[in-house]
Amino acid sequence: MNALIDKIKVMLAVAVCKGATAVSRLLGHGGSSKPGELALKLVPDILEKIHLPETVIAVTGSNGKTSTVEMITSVLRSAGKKTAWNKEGSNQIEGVATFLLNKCTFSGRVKAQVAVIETDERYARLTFQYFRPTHYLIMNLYRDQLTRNGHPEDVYKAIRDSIYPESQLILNADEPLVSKLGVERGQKNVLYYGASFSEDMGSVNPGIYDDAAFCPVCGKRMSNGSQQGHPGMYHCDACGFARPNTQWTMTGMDLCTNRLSINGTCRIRLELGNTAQCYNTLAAFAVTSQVGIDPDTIVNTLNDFHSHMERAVQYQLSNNSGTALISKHENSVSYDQSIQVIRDDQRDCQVMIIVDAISRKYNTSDTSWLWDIDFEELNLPHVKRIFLSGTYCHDLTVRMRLAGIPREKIIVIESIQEAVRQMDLVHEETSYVMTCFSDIQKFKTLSHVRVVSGECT
Amino acid sequence: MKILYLFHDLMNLYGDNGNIRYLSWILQEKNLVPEVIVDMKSVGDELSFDGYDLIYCGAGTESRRMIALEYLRPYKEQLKKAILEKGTPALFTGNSWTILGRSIREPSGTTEGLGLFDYDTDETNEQRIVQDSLFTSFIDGKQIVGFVNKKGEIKNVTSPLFRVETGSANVLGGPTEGFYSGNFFATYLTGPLLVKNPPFLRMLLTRVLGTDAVSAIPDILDPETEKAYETTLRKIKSGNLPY
Repeated sequence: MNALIDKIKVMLAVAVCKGATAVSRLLGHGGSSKPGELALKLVPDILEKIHLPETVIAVTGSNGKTSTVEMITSVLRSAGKKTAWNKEGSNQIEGVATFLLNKCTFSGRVKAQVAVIETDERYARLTFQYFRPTHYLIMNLYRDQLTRNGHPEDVYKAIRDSIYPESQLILNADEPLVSKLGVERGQKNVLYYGASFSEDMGSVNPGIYDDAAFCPVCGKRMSNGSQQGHPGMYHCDACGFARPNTQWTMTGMDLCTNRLSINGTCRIRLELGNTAQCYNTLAAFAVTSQVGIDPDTIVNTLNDFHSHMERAVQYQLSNNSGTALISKHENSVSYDQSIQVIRDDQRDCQVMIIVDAISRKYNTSDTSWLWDIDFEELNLPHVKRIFLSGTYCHDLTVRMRLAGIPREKIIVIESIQEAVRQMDLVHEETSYVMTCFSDIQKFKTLSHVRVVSGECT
Repeated sequence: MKILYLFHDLMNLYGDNGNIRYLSWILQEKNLVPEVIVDMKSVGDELSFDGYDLIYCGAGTESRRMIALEYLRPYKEQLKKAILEKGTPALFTGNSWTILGRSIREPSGTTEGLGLFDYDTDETNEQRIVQDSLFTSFIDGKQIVGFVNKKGEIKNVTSPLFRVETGSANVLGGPTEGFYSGNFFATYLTGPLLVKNPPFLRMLLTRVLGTDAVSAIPDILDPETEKAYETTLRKIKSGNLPY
């Protein structure tokens, strides 16, 4: 009897989810979490009742989840694996339910050989109450969206509570707060990836703050603390906590030619040259190797992998062309990565920074995160002018002055349209716009901006 | 002008570094003092609190705040002498001021604070408070803007620093925020509040440089921070805050 009721419940939840998705598409809504939300309301433990593929890969962290999931999925598909993933990016339990149920037969079997699940770092513990990933990739824990996240140690606790013994952990060894998760489970069923420090890894941006200066296990100062996701060995003399050995190792990184080598032999060309991209690619390599994909297939797929996410948008103005680097407000590491791209491009350029709406989800006027970004790195001879625009242009101005940017290079224009017009009055070899995905539309939709590529999402 | 910046690398959650960087920059930029020396002292450094014009400490995670507390414990009497007896101006932001109170209660137990002041911190409520806030200063009636990112409540505060207009109070739903006593100022605001609040900066400067010196400073010390302050004030007042 119970089995029959379960069957009916599953059928109902799948039908509701598929129906709601169809209606939402008809109405032209993206709405990737609503259908799952409805299904969960009807059958709260539906995710426990469906049959998942043999391999379930979960991916979480503050930065780079979506890009990495895209890479993993693309490799799996090249290898001929039928793969289901939350393509639309809704990564809380409702979004996960939507994509899994939409891929289900009415008997509740997910029609795929592998499921790849991007999961929100704070809500993973809710999702994994109901099912366990076979492989769990945890990438990094950064200062991010303080309006919801509090601070990285808080997020750490949330992630820790989402981990169950049956999942194999694949962790970034270069992030002390991430590798601590391996310590907590006694290094059982844990594999690591990270950078090798024996070779010249190119110049690394040291960052404004160092959240890894103190041992996350015992609180004592560590030696050679790593710097917010940038390569660095760390070791705590007090308790012995140290960077673990890596199974997948980045043995070379050239940010000028956008090349990366893994385990000495595999060379991959990247779309965008910054350390975050290198780490994301390495993580994708690690996970896909671990589930049995051969290195050639991985390298061939990741070579020149083109993300469908908007990370860099090429645009054309009347007198200038350039790239909009999509960063995230309230996330200093993402801005540091964009700054790295500008720094390593030796061409003369103009830069525009737009901070207009700080958060898409929360009503906040907080600009304190601007002080965590290493704008000092923009103080370069090839950066000719820096335009500051949007509601918070004055906060930006104060920050730029403190970063040592010469006053004559700073141009403050609150109106984005006017700022773009002014930037276009002078021609430089190239130009960059740095802003958040929440503000980029305000630039892209201007009549004198022609988007050349990177339009797809 | 000598500033002691305590735990610059430990207690620096979200942009706190901006406070002392900006303060020392503007003092020199406007030639208000001949030179500014910032002593950055953290875990592993020998501490002394003598001869400073200002002592500053910023916010940290809860666990890092405990590291700072234990590191300061042997210096308790010296710190007391500097802040309570000599009246050295001091600013403690975020959760750093919980260190100087009577006690800190966490789910894992209660830790004795340094006991310079009589307030108690209660972090047993798991709820985290993260929100934009607008306060009015009890000292000069000026408005203060900023962001609070905290866990728990501070109880038994006898002389609060601000009246809460919107946002986070010392106790949930309470009317007041922060604490002051003599030249000691404490608030749970995190980030670069001295950058964001020109009136508060000016108030602090009167304590550091003296009233006469500050009255010689033009009303608008820095037009850019004034404009940024107006923007944030306007934004917070326009409401629709998420909590």
